[in-house]
Amino acid sequence: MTDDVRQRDEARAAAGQDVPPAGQQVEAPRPDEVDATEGMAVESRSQWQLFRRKFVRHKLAMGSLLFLLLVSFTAFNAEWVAPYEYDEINVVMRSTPPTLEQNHFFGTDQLGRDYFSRVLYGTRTSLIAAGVAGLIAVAVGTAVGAVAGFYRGWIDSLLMRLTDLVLIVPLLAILLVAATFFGRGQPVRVAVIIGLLVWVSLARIVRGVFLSLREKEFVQAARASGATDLRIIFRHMLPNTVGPIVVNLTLTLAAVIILEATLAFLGLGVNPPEPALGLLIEEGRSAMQTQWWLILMPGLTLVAIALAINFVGDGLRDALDPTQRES
Amino acid sequence: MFQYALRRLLISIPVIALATFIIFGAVTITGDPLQELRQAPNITQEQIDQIRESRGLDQPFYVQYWRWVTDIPTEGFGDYLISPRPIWPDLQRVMGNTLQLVIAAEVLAFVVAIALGTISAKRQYSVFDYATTTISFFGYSMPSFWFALILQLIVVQIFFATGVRIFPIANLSSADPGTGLAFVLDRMHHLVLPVISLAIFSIASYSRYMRASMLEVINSDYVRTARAKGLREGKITTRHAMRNALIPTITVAALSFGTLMSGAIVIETVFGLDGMGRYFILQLGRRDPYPIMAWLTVVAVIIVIFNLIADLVYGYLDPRIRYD
Amino acid sequence: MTEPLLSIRDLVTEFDTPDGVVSAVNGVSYDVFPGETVGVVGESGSGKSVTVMTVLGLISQPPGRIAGGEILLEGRDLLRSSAKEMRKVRGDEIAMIFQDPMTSLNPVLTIGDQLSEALLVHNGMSDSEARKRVIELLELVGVPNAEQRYDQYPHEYSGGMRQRAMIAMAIANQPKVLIADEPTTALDVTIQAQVLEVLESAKRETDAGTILITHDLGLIAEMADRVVVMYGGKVVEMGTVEEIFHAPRHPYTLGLLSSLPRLDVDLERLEPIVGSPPSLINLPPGCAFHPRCSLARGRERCRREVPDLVGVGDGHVSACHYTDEMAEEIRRVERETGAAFGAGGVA
Repeated sequence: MTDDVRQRDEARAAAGQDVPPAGQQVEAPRPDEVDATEGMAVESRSQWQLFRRKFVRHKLAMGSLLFLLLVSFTAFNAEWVAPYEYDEINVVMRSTPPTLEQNHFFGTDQLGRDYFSRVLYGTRTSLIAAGVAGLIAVAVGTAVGAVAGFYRGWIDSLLMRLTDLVLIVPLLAILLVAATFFGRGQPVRVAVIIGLLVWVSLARIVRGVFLSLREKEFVQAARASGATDLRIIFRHMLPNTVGPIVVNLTLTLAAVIILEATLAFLGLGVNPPEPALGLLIEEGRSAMQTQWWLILMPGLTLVAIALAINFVGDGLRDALDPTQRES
Repeated sequence: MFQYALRRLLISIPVIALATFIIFGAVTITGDPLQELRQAPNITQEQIDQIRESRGLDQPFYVQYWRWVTDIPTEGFGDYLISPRPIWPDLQRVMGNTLQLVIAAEVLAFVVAIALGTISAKRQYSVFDYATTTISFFGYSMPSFWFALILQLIVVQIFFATGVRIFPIANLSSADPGTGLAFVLDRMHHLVLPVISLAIFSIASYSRYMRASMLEVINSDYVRTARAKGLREGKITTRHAMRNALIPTITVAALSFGTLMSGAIVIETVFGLDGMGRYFILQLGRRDPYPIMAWLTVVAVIIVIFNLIADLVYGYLDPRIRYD
Repeated sequence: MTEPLLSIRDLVTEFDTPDGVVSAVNGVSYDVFPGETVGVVGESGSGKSVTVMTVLGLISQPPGRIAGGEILLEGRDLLRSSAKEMRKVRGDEIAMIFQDPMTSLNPVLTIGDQLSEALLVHNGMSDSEARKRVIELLELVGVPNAEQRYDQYPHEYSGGMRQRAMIAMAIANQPKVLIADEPTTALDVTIQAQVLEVLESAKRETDAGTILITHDLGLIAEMADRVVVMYGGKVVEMGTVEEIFHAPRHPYTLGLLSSLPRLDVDLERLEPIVGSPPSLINLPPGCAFHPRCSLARGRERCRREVPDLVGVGDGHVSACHYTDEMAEEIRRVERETGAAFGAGGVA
């Protein structure tokens, strides 16, 4: 559940079903590539449309995307949506199972705090953490992967050794050590630490795509016409790497959400009373024998979010896969 | 075959050496190991200075590292920072327990995943196939600690309803586990829920790979040849298809051993098992760098050993690798 | 007249694809008599391989479907046989040699294991008997040091050796019908001749009726007694090898012959068949060949009416509305390319 993103790719490669094949993107420069010839621009637009149509038709992925948008919107507007403050104590209603009465949809805990509100705030914390970690992972992973794939050399060797190393030390252990010494119970700090540790798989994928792209004719042509390295990287190669990056980002996000919850559960994420999904589950644990909803509700929320992200990722992968037919 | 094994073994030595260096470096830069001690009220500055000197903390980094690493074979991993107790006996005890948990989970995951993946591939697009796909998506999306809690919850509810405790939800053994076979059975009974919780993610992951590689293999020319020979379908699957399809799946399983160790940290915490994971969390709470470094080193060695085993199995399954 | 060993009658094999139903084989009939070699030629997608895969029961259903016809092996309809009976036929009474020896052997099993498997499954030999017989077979097909080579894996064999092993596997049970699907296509030119020789001797050894599928007319000329020409899932012409090569009665056959590089023809004047093989989902109406046909010349009948196979001589049949114009057409091609059909162009 921690190193899963990387391993999924490792193994996907091993199983011969490389994550979104670079081939398609290579022939399909993105629509904003204006300096392409007229014909190429037309073709690229249709490729982009094809991708969009395939994704929109993927019902599960579209539904998941809508669900995620709804959850994010609700969570980020928790102040208005939540029926209660997350730390509002109501002794009269304590230990109430989920009920429509007084809007305790997810029940209340021993102090009578409304769990629906707590889960909403907790979701916000988790989403922020996942977003920060995901952004860092994408930024660092893409940069390192691009440089390693483009220039090869020592940075490439370093990247490969690093991935070897990550294979023999459990990621969660490293993360726990880092969170213990640097995390200080602040969610954003923990998210930064997570981001700084999970970029490796993304870097490997970007590196792989870059390695294959640098041999392609249009890159050779750009080089021959005197384009600078930066221009080649940003105008010709990166746009063709967007597909794999986006798919991998979704997998990373799902993994990061689970990872953050795990850290919080182990007491190394955020400090109470600020809610986070993992922390809510940990808090509910002591009373779970009688108040099952205290672990069920935040957990289901967590699973639903992670599942939706994975479904979106699956839809993206299918839509980007040229061998997958429209159906 | 022997040469192949030997070569794999030799390759892993520098990997472990490098790992110890990185582990030492990483843990050392994370902070002053004496920080906790300084804040402790009943420890004087002299005592701290004495510890610093005896541990060589005033020496340069590489001297400290060399001292630490060369002491491993003779002194285990030395003593805890605060108490003069050796680390190794503790680590040895929890290691045995964790290996039982992790190996059982790996075996369970592998067997179940191979079955699920094979059947899914043989019946592509059937209800069974869709069901396993959906379940594996859940497996990917579910934090293992939560799944473990839900299992505990179910067992507790069954107890409330019927008065029967079908599985223990904590500890590795009963208060009076008995000896011999009784002890083993008692241990297995205690491990059922932890093993399932730990295996669920791996089942989800391995079964996907098994399905994908099985699909590739059953459409291959040599499976067609086997069919043209008039072999029974079952024999085609087990003898010709599965053996080839297992090769990439084994790789995945080997690469996933670190994930299982990560999972053990969580699962042992949930079930209160006296294993490496809980030990790690405990030492992390004490902020003692020495047992943490020892733990990371031991885990790295365990993972390397398991990768080695996987390499050998791989070599056994794929003659093309063996004779390279 | 002797009874045919294998008789394919009006066979129809379809595949469901996302784009619609593909009739890969659409009413194919031909016979194989004991001891003879039937060459089946046609472009890729003509249905020649799907026909024999159907014979062996190797079409996966779905997406495949056998929509009609019968396949009679010594009078017994294989299409009505149970899966169990079919399993006994495969590799025992009918055996097949596949195109690509590099991928058709299981990489993780030894050659010996894979060959003896065929023996063990069909005639209950003991392991040691099977081993002895496999070594004999390997020697027969010209694998040197058969004793040692028995325990080697496919990757330790060269391409030619693998194909020899495939041939040995196919003849292991003295099959009545031997099917060779492009047996030399994947091989190096220098190896092809040797493998053909092995195939010839294997055929002599077993006296099996043989179906040789190829797009290589040279191979047909060398090995076949009779020729079946397929186009768009149908048989368009069938006759003895002499008839087909010297007096083709279908414009497609003529096209194939004139696109064949020959020693006696100036390469620059080769006349390839224009256009590409038809889409099986959207077969042209009428005669499937008419868009590419030099004889159709836009005639209404070719576009409307599917031609039947009609006799044009003793056992020689052709599916063309204008077979009677073929003599003139042959002369035209001869004039233009300098080839000579009537006067025995092919050795």
